[in-house]
Amino acid sequence: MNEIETKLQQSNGLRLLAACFYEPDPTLFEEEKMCRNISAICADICPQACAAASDMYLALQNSSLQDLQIAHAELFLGPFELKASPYGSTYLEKARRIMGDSTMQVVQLYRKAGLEVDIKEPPDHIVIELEFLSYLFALETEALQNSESTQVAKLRAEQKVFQERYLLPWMPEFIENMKKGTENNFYLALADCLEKFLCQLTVPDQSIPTYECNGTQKYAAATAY
Amino acid sequence: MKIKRRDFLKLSAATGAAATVFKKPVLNAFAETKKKSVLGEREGKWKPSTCQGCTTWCPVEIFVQDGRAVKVRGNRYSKQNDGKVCPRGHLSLQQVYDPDRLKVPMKRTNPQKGRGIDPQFVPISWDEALNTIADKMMELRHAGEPEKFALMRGRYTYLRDIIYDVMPKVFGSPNNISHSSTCAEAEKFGSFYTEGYWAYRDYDLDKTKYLLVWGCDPVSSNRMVPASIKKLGDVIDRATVAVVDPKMNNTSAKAHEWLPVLPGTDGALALGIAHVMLTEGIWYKDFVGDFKDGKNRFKAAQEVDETTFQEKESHGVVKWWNIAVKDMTPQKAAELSGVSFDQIVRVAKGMAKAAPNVCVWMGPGCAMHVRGGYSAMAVHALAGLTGGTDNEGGSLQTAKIPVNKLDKDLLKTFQDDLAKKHSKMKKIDQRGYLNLPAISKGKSGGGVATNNAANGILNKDPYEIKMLVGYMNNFAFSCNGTERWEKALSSVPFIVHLTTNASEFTQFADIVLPCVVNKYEKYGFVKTKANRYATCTLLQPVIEPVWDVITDETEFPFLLSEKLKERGFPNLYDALTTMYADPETGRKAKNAKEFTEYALKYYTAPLWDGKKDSHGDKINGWEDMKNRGMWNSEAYKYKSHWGGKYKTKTGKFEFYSETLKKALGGHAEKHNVDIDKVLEESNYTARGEMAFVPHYEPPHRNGDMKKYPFVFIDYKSRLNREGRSQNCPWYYEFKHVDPGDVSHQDSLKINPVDAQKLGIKDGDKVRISSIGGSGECVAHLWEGVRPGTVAKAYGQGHWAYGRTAAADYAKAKERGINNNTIIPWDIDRLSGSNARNGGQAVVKIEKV
Repeated sequence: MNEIETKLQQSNGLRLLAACFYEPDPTLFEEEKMCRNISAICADICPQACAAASDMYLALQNSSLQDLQIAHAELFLGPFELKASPYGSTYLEKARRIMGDSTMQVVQLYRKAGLEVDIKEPPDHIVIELEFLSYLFALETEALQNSESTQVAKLRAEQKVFQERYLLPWMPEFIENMKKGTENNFYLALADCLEKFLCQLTVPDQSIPTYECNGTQKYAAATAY
Repeated sequence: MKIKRRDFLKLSAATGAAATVFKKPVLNAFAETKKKSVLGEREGKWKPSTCQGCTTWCPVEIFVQDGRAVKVRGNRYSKQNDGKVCPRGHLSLQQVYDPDRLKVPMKRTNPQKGRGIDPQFVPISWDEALNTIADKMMELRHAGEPEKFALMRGRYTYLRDIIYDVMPKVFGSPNNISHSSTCAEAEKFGSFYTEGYWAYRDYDLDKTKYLLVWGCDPVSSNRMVPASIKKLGDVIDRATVAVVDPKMNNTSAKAHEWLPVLPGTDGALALGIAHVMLTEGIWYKDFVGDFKDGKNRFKAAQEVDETTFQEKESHGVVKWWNIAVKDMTPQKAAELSGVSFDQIVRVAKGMAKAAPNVCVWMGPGCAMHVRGGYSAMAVHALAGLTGGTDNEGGSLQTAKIPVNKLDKDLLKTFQDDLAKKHSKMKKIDQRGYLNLPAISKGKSGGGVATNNAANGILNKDPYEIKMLVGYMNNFAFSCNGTERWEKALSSVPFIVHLTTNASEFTQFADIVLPCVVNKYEKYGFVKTKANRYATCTLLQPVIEPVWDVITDETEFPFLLSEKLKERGFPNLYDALTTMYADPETGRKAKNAKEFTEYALKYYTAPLWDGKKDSHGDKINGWEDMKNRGMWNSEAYKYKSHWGGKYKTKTGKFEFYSETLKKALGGHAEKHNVDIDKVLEESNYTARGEMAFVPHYEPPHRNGDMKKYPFVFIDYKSRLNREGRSQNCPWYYEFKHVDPGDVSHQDSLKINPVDAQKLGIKDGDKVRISSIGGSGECVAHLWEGVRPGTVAKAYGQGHWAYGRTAAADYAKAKERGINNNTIIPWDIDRLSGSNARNGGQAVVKIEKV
């Protein structure tokens, strides 16, 4: 698999993983072959997540909609416990609150990429952050296809900032909370899959945009956040 | 939150050909924007709203940057807080941005109800939620029993009329149950049955020469907190400050006198002070009058001939003396109240010397007792004896706020026969029953008895409640006797809760609806007063809510009315759109948001429409009103009610309350008994003429003091935004701002002498138990409570409300212990108030 294809699959994978954190919709997931697509992507670029992806598929087949809804609500909505807060600021900042400084900083990154949040959730919600990273990877795919090295470098710098400062630092605790907070097999497998998928993502080794890559890319070792 | 674009799940494919036009992925959580990323400090704007963290109801401004609220201050135009707020103002930022807030409408999937039983809520659409609610309501109407619908209100704005009055009345239910009596109805009883004023008083701190604070802590709670914080230092310099409170509080820590009264004996202490003033001949004669010959006949234990005294602004001082005061010598008062004879005499003489510029600040601590009505009257009577009532430097009534009222006649035109008949039925709180006079404003059953609604529901008396809608209330936490509420709520077949956070009340709900946080996201208005100025201040949405929430008081009834109309009952929709048409254009609202703003305009129009002199700030139209956010009255005129203009039966300040005599008489007549029987049924000891004067009632203690040897004192933290700030981490971090409290723990204050006897050391975990309930907290040894009493701040002890507030929701384990679990269920039957003070709870303390 070449670099372009890998990047594209990473983008696709992140987008589908983002989808898994919305309210569960097994019919839609099945119709769009979501779990099978995740499995296929994992087989291509992240073999260590394959088992988790197939567990997700099986769990989805064997869970009732209501069980999924209850488990999803307990983890990410509450109303009583919010076992795995899906908001970055609640992990990255001292006071347990949404709309923190880190939240406003990711909004700036979104705007820089020409995007604004279009759902009723704080901008550092897990679904939004995963989609954003997927988007940056998609743009990179495009730039790679078009051999726009300056654009590639710029996007990698943006990815680096976003991954290192805003997304990856809260993932271990978030994933741990998911694992502790549910007995539902779909969400347990999702936590596992997300963890493994993130582990194989690379953080571009560029602290500032150089705009001069000359076709050579340096990748950091797989970052286990 | 659902996936809104199916294509989001479709895979992007690599073409392999560099020249192919790249297709961007489908976005779901994003839209494209041209807004630029901004580096450095962002611009912001101060936007006006109102803080309802306590009942000061401060006009505030909120600094909003990039759509985010970041800072709070007082409204620059306010003549009450001069642009300042108290700690609560800032604390609220952690409420509006609480990750545990309710985010979407949800329904219960577990039919079993109870504490510790997870309702297993799942999200539903607004449509499904409202359809279900409308169906349930229509079932009641079709069965001809709309009275079995009840609306329970908690924290409200004055747009309450819509959800609280119009909705139940047009639907056909008498059951609109307010939270008001959890808070201070007995306090209002004290001022009403002396000076005819059923409301909280204003206090003229700028001019007072003697400030007597009784049963509250003005710099931390009660009704003019920022003003008190700002002014107390000056008052201490200029005047004498005395504080009556069974435990040391912020104000008493700085005051000249702290009178640590034994809980529930306030009436004796007040009468002892009155006794000194009368026997010493130092009452304020320009208000009360004097003996015709100038010779003082008030001698301990001796009756006085009424005809020898000529009163001025008051009524019945000699009767009062003869019935209740003459035997309450300062010696006896000292014995009963635990306050020393010398201090009683010194305070009485000090007040008399400062008269008439004496400010008697009567708070709930002396009123919210099982037999608190008369002690509230006794304390307030001191404002009469010193001439401080309605006077410079004293306690004041209010300037008028000329807003529009609910058009009750118009409302009636939308009631069908069923609604007309059933909305007049008895209420579920049993107000007006023989043993529950609740004689608000002189009327039998005129006041609410919130806590008794639990009994009505449990006993299905006067009938069963089949459907309950609660908004911004949490009676299973905020009413003493929480276990009774848990049982009552478990028994109601269908409950809807409108709230910001899933609370103890929500635990019993079938549908829970996410609502706005009032200070930041809501339209509304409130009326308040301080420093002689009455204020109308708007609540406004200064930020776009993060989640899909609605405004409880306006949007909910409007949206519901649309659903009821679809089901063949258009009356509510017609009532709302007609009664609250835009006062400027006459247009009827087309949607819930429009309706909300029209309703707010309807009520506040006289302040900004320029049609009449509002006797206050000149405001130029609706936009100007929204920009300023508030209106100030002219300064209140002193002595507005002197000269026979008090709204009592006699027009005078009544030491012998003809007003109360009439009210009790009316209630007795309704039940065909005599007044003594009413008092007996109401758990009061007074008989005969004693019933009509401020007097001492022995405190009622729930529990055997041999088994429960300590008297429990409940008080309010200066960080309490009612019971709703306990999910804010700052609440625990800064808890030490309450005297005797320690951060990060629920501290039970115990005198070191008692602690030593029990072998308890500072920081020990202890179990506190009463006949009502039991729980764990941490002992803090403190001389600010006297031996034999223990004190704990209300607030902690949630088992729901969020991850910070509760210790372990799944196990229904509280963080600390709720005072309302320790304080057993009880009420003051004359006023209908919850009884949480006066030492009705007695407890035992054990080291864990």
